[in-house]
Amino acid sequence: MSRVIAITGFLGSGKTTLLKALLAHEALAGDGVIVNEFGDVGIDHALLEAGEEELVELGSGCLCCAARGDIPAAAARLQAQRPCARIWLETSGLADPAPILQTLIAANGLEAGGLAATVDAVNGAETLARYPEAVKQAALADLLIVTKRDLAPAEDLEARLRALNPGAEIVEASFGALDPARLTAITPRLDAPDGHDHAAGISTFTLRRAEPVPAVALTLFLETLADAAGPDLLRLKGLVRIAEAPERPVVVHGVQHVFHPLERLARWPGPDTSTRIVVIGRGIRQDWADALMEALIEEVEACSI
Amino acid sequence: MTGDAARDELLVRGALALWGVEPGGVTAAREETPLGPAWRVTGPDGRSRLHPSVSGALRHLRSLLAPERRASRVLFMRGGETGPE
Repeated sequence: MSRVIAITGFLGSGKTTLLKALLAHEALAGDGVIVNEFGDVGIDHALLEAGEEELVELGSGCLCCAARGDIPAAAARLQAQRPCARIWLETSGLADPAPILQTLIAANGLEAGGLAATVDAVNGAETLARYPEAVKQAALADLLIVTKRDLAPAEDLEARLRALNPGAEIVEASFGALDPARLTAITPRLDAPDGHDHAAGISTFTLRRAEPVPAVALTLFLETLADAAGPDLLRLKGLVRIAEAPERPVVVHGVQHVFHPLERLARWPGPDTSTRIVVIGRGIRQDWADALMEALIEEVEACSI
Repeated sequence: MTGDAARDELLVRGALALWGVEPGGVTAAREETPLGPAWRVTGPDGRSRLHPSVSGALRHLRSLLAPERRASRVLFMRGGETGPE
């Protein structure tokens, strides 16, 4: 199983500089790298493979989304040369990270290790204003890396990024200088403050419920939300207190409508044992999502009387 | 308006806002039936269908008001301890 850490970011935002600097760390010796184009990435001690942004239909008969078929193929070529426990994936500047994350969720032998997005302090604000691709990259990231901070102040940009993706940590990295541990230890945050970016219409909110949720109601909720929101549901992650086993929280984690298998933890990670589900999307109202969850729980409970 | 009625209205209004559409002669409301509460969705041609769940009602609404919107079907990938697939 290889853990894949994806680095995305708009054209010229410093992805390659960051990756090159990361790969210079001895701790990353033996890591694999998948890039879209062979550039000047330092590969002295890293395996390198190319992806070609080949989009293929996702399995299970789903016709409404595409997965990046090139990524598992490139990872397999890497593994054939030398097994590597960790792979760095540098996306193209215009890449939509959603199919990439979906691919990592779906692919056998690969583990989604998180998504980092570079946003440069010089052009980042204008890029976010003009290019929806950049907005989606920032909105879906687990870690936001503000680059070229030595060239420009970034307070306003960071405020915009916090509104766009309040659940992501924001770090700065000039000349690619960043402790690799900030990326190798990325984990999706299972809670986040609410936020709303008016310019892009993207909002983040957390559904909370103290009462347990029947497992069937959870499944119905995810299906109904995905069906109604379609591509406007960008990401959903959280912990759910399931009625059938409230002492063992269920982890939900999806990118658009593609979800990791529901996984039960052995115990709650802290004293808060309430359900909290972070939803990142466009135009999805929190009160509507709350009402939907409540209505579906009532329906399921009424059926089980 | 009762709490349930306000929530029902919110469920419809929130979906329409998400799709960026107006009701356009389509109605959706919950009513009592011999088998319990159900959602009645009525199209502009006056034809209506009953749905036992809000889930089906919203799907029907979308097909009437925003048929061009891409529907998404949840996929749970790989085997999980409690995955429904």
